Amino acid sequence: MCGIFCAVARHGCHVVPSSTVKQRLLARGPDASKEILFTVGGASGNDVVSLTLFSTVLSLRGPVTTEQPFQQHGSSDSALCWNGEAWNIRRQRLDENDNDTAAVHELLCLALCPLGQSETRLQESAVASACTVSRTLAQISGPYAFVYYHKHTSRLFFGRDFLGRRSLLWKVGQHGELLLSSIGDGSLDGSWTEVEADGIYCIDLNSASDAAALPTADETSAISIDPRVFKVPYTVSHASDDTTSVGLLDSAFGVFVLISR
Amino acid sequence: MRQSLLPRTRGIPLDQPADQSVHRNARIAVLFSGGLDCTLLARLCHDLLPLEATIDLLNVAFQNPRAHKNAGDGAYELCPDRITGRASHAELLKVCPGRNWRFVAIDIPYTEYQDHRAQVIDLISPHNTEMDLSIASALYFAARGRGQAASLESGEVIPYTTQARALLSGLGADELFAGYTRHATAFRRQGFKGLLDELSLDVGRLGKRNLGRDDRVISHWAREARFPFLDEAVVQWALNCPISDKCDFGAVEASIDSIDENTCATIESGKKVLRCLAWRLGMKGVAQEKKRAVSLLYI
Repeated sequence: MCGIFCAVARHGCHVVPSSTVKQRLLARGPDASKEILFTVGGASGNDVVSLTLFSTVLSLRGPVTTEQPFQQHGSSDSALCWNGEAWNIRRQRLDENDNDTAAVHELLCLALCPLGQSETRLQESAVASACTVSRTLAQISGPYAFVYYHKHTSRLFFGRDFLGRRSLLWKVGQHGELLLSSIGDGSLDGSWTEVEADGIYCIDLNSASDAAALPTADETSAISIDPRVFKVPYTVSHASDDTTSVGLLDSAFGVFVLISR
Repeated sequence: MRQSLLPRTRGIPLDQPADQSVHRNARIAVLFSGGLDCTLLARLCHDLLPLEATIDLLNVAFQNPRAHKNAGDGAYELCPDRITGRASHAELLKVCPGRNWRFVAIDIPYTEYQDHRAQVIDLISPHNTEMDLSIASALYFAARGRGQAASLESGEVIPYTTQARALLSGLGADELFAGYTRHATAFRRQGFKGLLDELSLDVGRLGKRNLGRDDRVISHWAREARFPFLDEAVVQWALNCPISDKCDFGAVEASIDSIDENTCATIESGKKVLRCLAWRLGMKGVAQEKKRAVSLLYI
């Protein structure tokens, strides 16, 4: 099992995991660990955002360990922290020696920047991008918690699979920074809570406005922990031929609706 | 289920490859209480993995200072999960000969439990109830994988720590196929409507109640829990399956041909479809196993 950590700070400094969190993340993934720092924005009066991504890896597929946060060779356009197992993508089983982290990263990159159409997609709203990420991940069967940063659009996506098979916690740190981690500091720090396994979460690092002000706010919901974060809930509208995830809808009525066919 | 287990049991690397005989190191272990769900997983793995692959069965027993005051070291063998674990291990040996089923007896003295209690509380946070703690403690020590197992050469029982990085868990079977006592209660009170309501509530809150917490304690030992019953296709099948095909609360007779009408009366109603599968795979003992009111809780 891998360990993932992410910090979004607006006070000019990159925030790293506390020593307890770091030690526990390393216990989860003793085979590799890496930290990647991004600095975003600063133009047109927006805050400078310092983004930290840190991952540890437990190697479970084939003979080679794939480092995380995963970036395409020679490119820093995006980065993926993946605590998951993609058993199948579009109903195709991944070869047992193929790395699923690389496959999921490629899938997300292509979905957000399809070849030849990058210009149009880059102008998509944050909500539309989050829907794209949600649709893309619905093609995967397997457990996951993830954090994905798309540098072109300065958008950060995160979430857990619809059953919540992997842990992901969040909290707001001492100086207002948003922190995400597989594991928290422990029972004495009560401020970590679980990210609900109910949708894809997104934060636009280049946007000064609150997510509540988004024009399509009725399809999404702003999140109380940080008003800049919004969520695209897992819903039936993501159904397609390639979808393999099962959506739990209408649970208030005790009815399950399947989004796959 | 086989399609679910295939990717979850293949291609797992070993910590220490090729020392003496590779096949003696298990790549996969089962979190093994000896109950229906985990035993069924072990039985299905037998059909999928090469015969020379060892499968470790991790079975935890806690010392209970009150109940076991005078029992000495034999106390662990009196724990409910140890008794069912031994029985199901014996049945696996009988039904699946030729495989090394390594039963790892993980005995936790009360003092050791106390030494680790604060750490478990920290790991499960923000979960914080006594119930969370007792379930997570069992998973914590099971995932550590350190206990006693019989040596392959001499049969002598020696200290052993599993090398398996992937641990199979039967979690989800109770929620999908109505295995909890309260499911029977819901049916008795409100019929199928009550049972369906209870089941949908259970599946919907798995992530919130169990899975995040279990991930945090199990992964601490650099191992990964895998949940074959929570495979997308299995969940989809189970949710699509009419409730009367999954369990037979209220039914007079079983309708599955392979079951002897005389003995099936002793098979419980909850998780009937899994019990029938176990029966068909030759595991008649575990198919008939009685539901225990409490499991894992001897703390």
